[in-house]
Amino acid sequence: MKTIFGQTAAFDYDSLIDLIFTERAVECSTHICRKLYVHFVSPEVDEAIVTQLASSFRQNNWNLLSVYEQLFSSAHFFSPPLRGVRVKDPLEFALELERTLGTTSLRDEQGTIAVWFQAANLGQAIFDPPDVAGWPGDRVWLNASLLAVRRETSQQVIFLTYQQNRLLFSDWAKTLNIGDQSDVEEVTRAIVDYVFPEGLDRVEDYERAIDVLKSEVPSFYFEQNLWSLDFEYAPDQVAILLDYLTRRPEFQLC
Amino acid sequence: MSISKKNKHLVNGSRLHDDGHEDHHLSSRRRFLRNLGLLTTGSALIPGMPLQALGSSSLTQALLDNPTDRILVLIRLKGGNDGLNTIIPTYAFSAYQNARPTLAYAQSELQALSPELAISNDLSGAYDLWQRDSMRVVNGVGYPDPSLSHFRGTDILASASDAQQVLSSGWLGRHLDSCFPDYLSNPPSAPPAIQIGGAGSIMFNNDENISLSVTVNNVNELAELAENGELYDTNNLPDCLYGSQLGYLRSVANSAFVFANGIERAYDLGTNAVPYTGGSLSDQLALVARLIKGGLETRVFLVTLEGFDTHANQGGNHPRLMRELGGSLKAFYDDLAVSGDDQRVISTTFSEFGRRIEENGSNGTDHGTASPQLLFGPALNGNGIHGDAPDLSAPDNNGNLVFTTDFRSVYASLLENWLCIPPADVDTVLGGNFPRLDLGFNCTTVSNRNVVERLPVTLQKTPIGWQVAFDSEGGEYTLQLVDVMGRVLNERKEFVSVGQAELPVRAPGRIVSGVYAYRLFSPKGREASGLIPIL
Repeated sequence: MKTIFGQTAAFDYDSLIDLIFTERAVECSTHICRKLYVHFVSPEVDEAIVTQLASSFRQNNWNLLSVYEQLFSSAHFFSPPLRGVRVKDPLEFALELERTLGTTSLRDEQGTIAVWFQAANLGQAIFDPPDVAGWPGDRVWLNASLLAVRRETSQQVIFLTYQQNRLLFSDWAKTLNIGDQSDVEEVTRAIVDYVFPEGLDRVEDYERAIDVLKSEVPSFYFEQNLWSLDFEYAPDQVAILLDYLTRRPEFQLC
Repeated sequence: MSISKKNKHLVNGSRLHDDGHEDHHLSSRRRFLRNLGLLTTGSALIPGMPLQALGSSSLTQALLDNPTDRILVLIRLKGGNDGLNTIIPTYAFSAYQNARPTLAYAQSELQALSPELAISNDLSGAYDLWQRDSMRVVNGVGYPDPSLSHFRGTDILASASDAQQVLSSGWLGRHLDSCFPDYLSNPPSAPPAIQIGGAGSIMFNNDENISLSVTVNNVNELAELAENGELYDTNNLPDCLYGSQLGYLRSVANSAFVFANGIERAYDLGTNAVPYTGGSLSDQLALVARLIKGGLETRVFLVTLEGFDTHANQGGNHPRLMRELGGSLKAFYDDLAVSGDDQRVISTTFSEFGRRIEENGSNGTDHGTASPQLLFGPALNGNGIHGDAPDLSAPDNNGNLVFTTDFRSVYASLLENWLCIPPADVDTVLGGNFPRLDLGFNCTTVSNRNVVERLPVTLQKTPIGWQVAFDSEGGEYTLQLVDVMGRVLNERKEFVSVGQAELPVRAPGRIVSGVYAYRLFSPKGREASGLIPIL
């Protein structure tokens, strides 16, 4: 028999957890919602939002689904100041590469294993956190050595995709919202803005990206309007640009 | 546009809309497979470091360190330069004029270099260097069975291969690799090569597809890097959480770019002492001059001038390119002369191919073959013309000029007599023995620098980590674990008796996964190093 929070009983795990959630409901719901907030929204916590989430968590009988619904449909979640503030964790990084490139089908086992392996390689073995506190997350995910591995990973994914079918790259670019697919600058901008929803901050960075996409193609082709996404070498050019973009520091944020 | 003039001699690929011209596909596919990921400013940790290199054999043994402070500047004329309107064949002037009703220069627009050859007034900047004994011309540079594809042609020139041979490494990559066998695990203080433009070039790739150059996408990128000493700007960030996160990531990326400080220091120490003409090549050469004058130990620079694929309207474009080429080269050497650095810099042009003898129906010229290669610098000790000029009246079966000097002869001469590489090593790098040209410089006055002796080591995986195995000469060995920024994380000194020995590579406690390097020093001052993936 123990007395906890003024209640005396022979607690087992379940009854003890029930007791904690009853006697310290505000603290428990706030703690969990704060963790969710940090995981999905921002390392800087907006306590007012967390309080709201915690309240509906309790009101909905500790049903997490309702918390997710509220969070993911809120204007707050999509507000511009909260974009690009999180360091992608390795799983997000690996998934985004696959999704952007549309390469491996995530439904098939091999694709899933590939993503699992890439995430583990980057320090996040799924279902195997370092301790009960979980992964510390945020900036701890990246240092110079790990950035090298991330860049290597994106290069490999692009390489394997290219080996599978090089046309995937130009086909993918054609699905973007591009007014004139023979305008190399417009094509570059569309690809950059797709990969970086926040865009790049300076016009010089776009100019660099344009030079990357132009690659080895002589300027004559662009001046004479002989180039488009259907150009023989366009799949290679798009792949080279994606390789450049996924190596930029911006790609590590979401 | 249409290219209407039919010529039975036109080989497939030389005109813009031929099937052959679109044959870029095959060669570009190969080049892409080779080059993917070697866009080094984007990737620069140590530039272009692919992990797969870890599994392959150790980098080539050191042949020697470059014993000179000599510099080679390669000027790439991208798109295929029209050689006949660069160095004009006065030896066959009427044939030249007949073949080019709208594009031929008139006698009055030319300065004679010899009784047979002339240079146009558009290249007056270069003619100035000629008159100062600082320019040489190599005639008819090319190779047997030439390719007319931009991409394949560029690859051949960069790799120094035969026309039928596909090499994944570049001639300079193979050379520099032998100078920097530990490039990845123990990088030099300055990048061996800097390349402006040409993201897909393989010129500086070694046999393991590792680029030994820092590649920037345009001149502004290099200027910014030199000015700020960082790859990515960490000063002008948005004042919000996104800005602060981005700042962190950029500083991580910057910290791993090992060459930033050296480039910044040289940029700060060097200045341009003369005005440049302005324009793309001029901006690139001005920056290269500043880095050279500031003492950057980079040995090879590659700069690019765009716009030579003159299928149409060549009459306006090519003269403008020639003026830019000549004007910026003159400014470059005037600038270097102020500090006396001009004596240690040789520049040379190159292009994937020349163009056809006849102009086409669009006031342009289509892809051809041989073209002259121009070299500049007072170290040439005179002006001169090398090799026979191609015979305009005896073209090959496709109506193109027949080459008279193999481009690898020029490379071999530069490697052996300018960069002072032993002849046998030059032949290894170029895959054959090519006759040397006497371009006015040699290596007799150059003394050899001390070279650290290599210690042969095998890196072995053990159940608990990595170990180095080597043949011990007996005594105290030092083994370091180093991160990608060159910081020593752990150092152990151990006495090792004579014979076969293994030492475990130990991490200082818990270590995050990533790429690290080991360095082993023998008691007699021999060294070894290599990369280790820790996952």
